[in-house]
Amino acid sequence: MPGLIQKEMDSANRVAPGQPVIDIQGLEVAYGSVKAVQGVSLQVRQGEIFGLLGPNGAGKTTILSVLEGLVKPQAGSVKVLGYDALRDANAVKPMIGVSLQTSAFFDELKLLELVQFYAGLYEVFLSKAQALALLARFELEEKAGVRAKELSGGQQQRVALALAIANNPKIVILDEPTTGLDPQARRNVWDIIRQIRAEGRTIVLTSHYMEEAQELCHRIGIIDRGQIIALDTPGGLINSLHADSRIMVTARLPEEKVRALPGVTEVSYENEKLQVTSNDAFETMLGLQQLAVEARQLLFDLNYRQPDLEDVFITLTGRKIR
Amino acid sequence: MSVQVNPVSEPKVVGNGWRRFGVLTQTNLLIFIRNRAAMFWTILFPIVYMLLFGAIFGSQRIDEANPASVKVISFMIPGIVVMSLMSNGIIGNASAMAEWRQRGILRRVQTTPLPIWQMLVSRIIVQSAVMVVQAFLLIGIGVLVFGASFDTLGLAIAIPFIILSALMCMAIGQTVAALIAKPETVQIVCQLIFFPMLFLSGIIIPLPQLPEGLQIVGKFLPSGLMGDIIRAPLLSGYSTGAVSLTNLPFLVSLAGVIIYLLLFVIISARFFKWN
Repeated sequence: MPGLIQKEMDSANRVAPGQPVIDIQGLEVAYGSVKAVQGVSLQVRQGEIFGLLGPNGAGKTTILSVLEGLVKPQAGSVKVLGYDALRDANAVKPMIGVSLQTSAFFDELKLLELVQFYAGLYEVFLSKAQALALLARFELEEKAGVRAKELSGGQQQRVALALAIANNPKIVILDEPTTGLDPQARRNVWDIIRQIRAEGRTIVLTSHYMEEAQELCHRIGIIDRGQIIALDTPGGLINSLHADSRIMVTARLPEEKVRALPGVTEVSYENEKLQVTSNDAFETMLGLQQLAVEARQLLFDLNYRQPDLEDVFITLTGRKIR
Repeated sequence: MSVQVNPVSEPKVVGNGWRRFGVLTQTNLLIFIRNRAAMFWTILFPIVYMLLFGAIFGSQRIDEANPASVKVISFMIPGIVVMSLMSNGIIGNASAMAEWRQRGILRRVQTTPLPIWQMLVSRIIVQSAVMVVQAFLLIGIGVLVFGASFDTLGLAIAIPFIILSALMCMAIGQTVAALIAKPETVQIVCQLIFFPMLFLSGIIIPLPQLPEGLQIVGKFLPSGLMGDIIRAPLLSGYSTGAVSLTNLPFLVSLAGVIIYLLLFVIISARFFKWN
């Protein structure tokens, strides 16, 4: 999101901090001698889009698999909507909707039949009209009589999302919902996920796309080698770096006053352009506006480059995510 | 993208587990009928084989000197039924399981409240039903086209033995899918099981025509035992006492099929992986 201050985006995106609907404490999962998840604790709140962000093999899918009742952990507790998900999986399963990395479509079934089948497994029996209405919400109405293998990647992903809410779940768990999609299809899926959330559902998703997590998620857990290494809002994560942002603006403001603004670390003029380096871009830019108002000037060509989640990941792990 | 907002509410129509099982089984039948490979191997292949075989041996009798003796085709039809059971139960079932697993279908179903055993039971019911229908289709062709003759009551008595054999074949298929992960390898291994079982067990080639060492192996192959328990009611019927707990050879074959069934159920349950 170049040009936008993440802090402002966060507040626009902000959800009223809801009750935790998922509470994971001290989760440990091992496949044989491979420790996939090592001591993960996190909470997901009612009504938020929570993202697990990390490289392939970090343990994201394993955490979801525990929530879905597919994997039994070696240690830890998992509560979903107040139920013990490890002991009482049958109480939890009807309340969650799932999209796995593999799409799990039967080649022999048409979309309409596929929707009725998966809903039916939850004892939710959709009439033809109801199943069509569900497909229509994902712009798949015309494809109702088509088999999934004949659809594009983006359409298939929309089918997976339709199946994930076919049982009208309170929590929707999506494993890499946009992997392999082109940018336009990806944005389309983001819109749908936001809509699903707007219906009052809580979303948990995984991703290894930085910009996706940054734009879509209210809170992000960064996971690496089976551990949560940071957990906050995207803006909170970026601010926690205290990395310097660069602000460029065409304005003539007194250099010493700019230097005195909060967060400023360096000031210079290059070709009539004011160059400011700041470790608190939000406060610095507020201050610049204040100075401009006092000097009865406008800030032209304001340009801003902030650190992003990629910088957060590199700072935390010393590696790039991909 | 305009998506209507539907606030979260309780599901509209909630039925019970039986209705769910009905949906599941209906869908399983649809999946089976629409699967081209399954249709070829389980319906078309045995019928084509049957027609070829009938065209060659249709008029021959077991004892050519005795016009009252059993027709060769009558003797061979139970073997062809076993072949179709093996084709459907072993190859068809193992390939479907391996494919469902590879495509994440079994995993996806596991995330739903459906107890996963119901998925298997439903499929077993559908497949058993198809296999019984297929068996009688073959018997019907034999009778109508090639003049095979069977004991009338024996036809009904054969049904439980056909079902028992179908279950055993599916258990073998399930075992192959349990022990081998890749669908391609599953296919190959199924063929390696199918063809020896077909040719070495006396159901297609009479045992006496095989080398002596192979005869003893063939006698106790699952396919030979299945042939015995299906042939007995069809050819000899109930009245002759062929299908009876006092008929030792029949009893041994029946016990053999049951033992194989239990053995493969145990192995597949022990080693089957859902993902």
